[in-house]
Amino acid sequence: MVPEKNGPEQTSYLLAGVDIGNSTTEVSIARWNGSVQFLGSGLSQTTGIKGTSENLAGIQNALSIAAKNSNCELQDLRVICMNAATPVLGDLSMSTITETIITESTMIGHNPDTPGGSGLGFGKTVLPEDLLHCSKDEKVIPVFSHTTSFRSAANLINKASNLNIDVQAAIIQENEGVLISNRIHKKIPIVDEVSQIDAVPIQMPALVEVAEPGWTIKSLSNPYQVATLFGLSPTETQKIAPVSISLTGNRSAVVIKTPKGNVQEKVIRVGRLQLIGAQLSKEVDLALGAEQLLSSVEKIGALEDVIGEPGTASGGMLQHIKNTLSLTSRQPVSQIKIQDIFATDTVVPQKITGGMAGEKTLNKAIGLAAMVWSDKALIQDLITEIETLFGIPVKLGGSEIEMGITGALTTPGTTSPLIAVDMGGGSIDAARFDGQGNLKTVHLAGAGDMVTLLIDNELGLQDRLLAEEIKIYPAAKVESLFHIQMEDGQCQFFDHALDRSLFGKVILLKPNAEMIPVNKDIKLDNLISIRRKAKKNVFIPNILRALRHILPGGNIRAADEMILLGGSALDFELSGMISQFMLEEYGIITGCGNVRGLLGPRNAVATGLILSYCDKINSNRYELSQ
Amino acid sequence: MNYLNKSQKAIVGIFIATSCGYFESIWTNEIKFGLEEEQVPYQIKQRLFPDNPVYLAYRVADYSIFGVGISCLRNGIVLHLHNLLQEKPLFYLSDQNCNLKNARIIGLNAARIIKKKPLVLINDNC
Repeated sequence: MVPEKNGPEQTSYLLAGVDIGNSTTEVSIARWNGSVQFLGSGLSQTTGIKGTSENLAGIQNALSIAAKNSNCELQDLRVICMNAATPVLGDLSMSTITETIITESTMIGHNPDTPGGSGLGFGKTVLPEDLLHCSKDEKVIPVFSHTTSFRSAANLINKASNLNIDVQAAIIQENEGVLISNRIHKKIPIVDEVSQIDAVPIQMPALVEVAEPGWTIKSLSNPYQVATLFGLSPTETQKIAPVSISLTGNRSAVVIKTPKGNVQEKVIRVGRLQLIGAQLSKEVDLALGAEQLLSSVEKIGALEDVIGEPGTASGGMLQHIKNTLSLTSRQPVSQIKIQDIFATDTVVPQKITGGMAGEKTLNKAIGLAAMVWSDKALIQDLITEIETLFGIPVKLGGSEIEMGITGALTTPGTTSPLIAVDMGGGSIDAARFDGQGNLKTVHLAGAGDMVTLLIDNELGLQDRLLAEEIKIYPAAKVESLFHIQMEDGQCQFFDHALDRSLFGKVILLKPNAEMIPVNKDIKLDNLISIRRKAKKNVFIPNILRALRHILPGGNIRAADEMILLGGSALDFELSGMISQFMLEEYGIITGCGNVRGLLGPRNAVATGLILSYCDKINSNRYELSQ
Repeated sequence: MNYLNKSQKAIVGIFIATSCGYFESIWTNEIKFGLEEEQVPYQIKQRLFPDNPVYLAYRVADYSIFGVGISCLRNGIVLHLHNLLQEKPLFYLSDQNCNLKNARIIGLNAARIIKKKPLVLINDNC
């Protein structure tokens, strides 16, 4: 390939910088003729696992977009610059460390939209056909399935009352609590929408409570009140306490006492992790929480591997992570050595085993992110394929974050010393450049993907795509068919009616004015709170971890300014959260990068690759005739 | 033809206009049950109305302070809002789709409009 000639002494040629991330592949194209002139850039989704031949399609796409934006052809490129460092691969896992199990189908908690009546009822559960055969003054709670209409149920209750049978409450399957309540003489609490009515134990003592509209229950959410009414022993009271307390905030609830002691909160043995460092090893019990693990990891220093206790939740989690990384890196499991691990505590709503109406309770959980270095041979395979496909030589530059700092310094207003933090999907990469040629870098597990995992689990979505969308888009509530109210309280109005499927729902606002309904029963405030907490609990401790690695003496207060790069830096609220925290807690000025004064936090690495390569040409470290 | 009293004050609730007839009375009962379960007030006007449930529901929505009207005629059940276009009701059940369950859901949805809760979607003619 003959380089372009431009005058008797100067030659100029086109070069591209390619940065392959976990989620996106970014490209910059520039012309070099003694000095660098950037022409354009492109971005595409990364195809396959980062650093493998599967990335070829994504690279081709990103290069095509960049070439189009640069008004040049791909075949005019003289060289493609890529990172020299092997890619970092990560994976996530989450495990609950407590689980609520009900024995013998006792219903724990229930919160239908429109229960009937109000008050507290205590009696024996009976079938409708047995109701009129109960003794006079006997306290009973009839249980009606969908086969009994609300009229028949109301008639039956009235007949029983006329016979002086003390009907204390009712439990019904259909959404007809109010309809029955409006047709009976006596005001009783009625809990409806019990989906698995057939599982309600009959001839068992039960408590039913419904609060007045606008209020919440007081008796069933108090374990001592439940103990009083059921005559429980201290041991039995202890067993029922966590679940009773979990009913706090409900407008209605039912608790049925069954012979085996009702409810238990089972603690799942989460197990221990063995952290193996170069000079030190340490065992950590994950049940003590994420902070214990993180502080142990810091004490160990550079990790060589992490091993989970077999037969426990942690063992299962680590094995799952290692198996996944073995597949993606194409290395045997025995060769997978975890170089970093990050943990965060969380609570997840889980369906109660044995609940009869889809009840959920919050269980403690721990999320883990782990990281390995993949095989160098994989990137070499990719380079060979690129050179074959495009007929353009590939030159390897420095590490990602090293190139990232170089690119970050093109942000107007920056100078060295500078800290750059590249926040991606799978990892946080940080570097400190002191301006005298000294660079300290670190790669840590736990970034955007972990935030998505936390959101997915804490909201009980079981939908990773929806969780990702909740993470990246602001939310709003559809208040009417013609207006929505956004997070900050501002309203947006429409001159045409919104789709009826959006009415009353929390929605996510995409940049193109598209609205994504969140088809789950989640309040706007709760969604916002969990979203922000997930971002804060992953990025802030991990950035602090990174800073302790790269700053002299691990002294975070020694940092002057920090620049945020990468896809996660584009998040609409994350940069602000980090900036505010760093300034308030450590006095560090933090801002989002603006690579080349126009690309924002993106493209730092690709830009840095080109600048670094051109720097080497200028210092005659590279021959033009190559 | 004036079906309703022009000087009638808007009610604090949902206005239901229904014609006299066997099926209409059954469906209207179900609509009422849906509203009653959600504890939203309503008023019913029953007389002979012409065969345009969409137009009727749109008209009676003006008699509801919340702008929500329901028509229940032999040839269809419509839930309409006064701030929608007349020809585009919120829900329209033609006579083929009219049944007890759907009628109850119409009542439920009318209440949910006022309570700002998500609607129960059904297979209708909208």
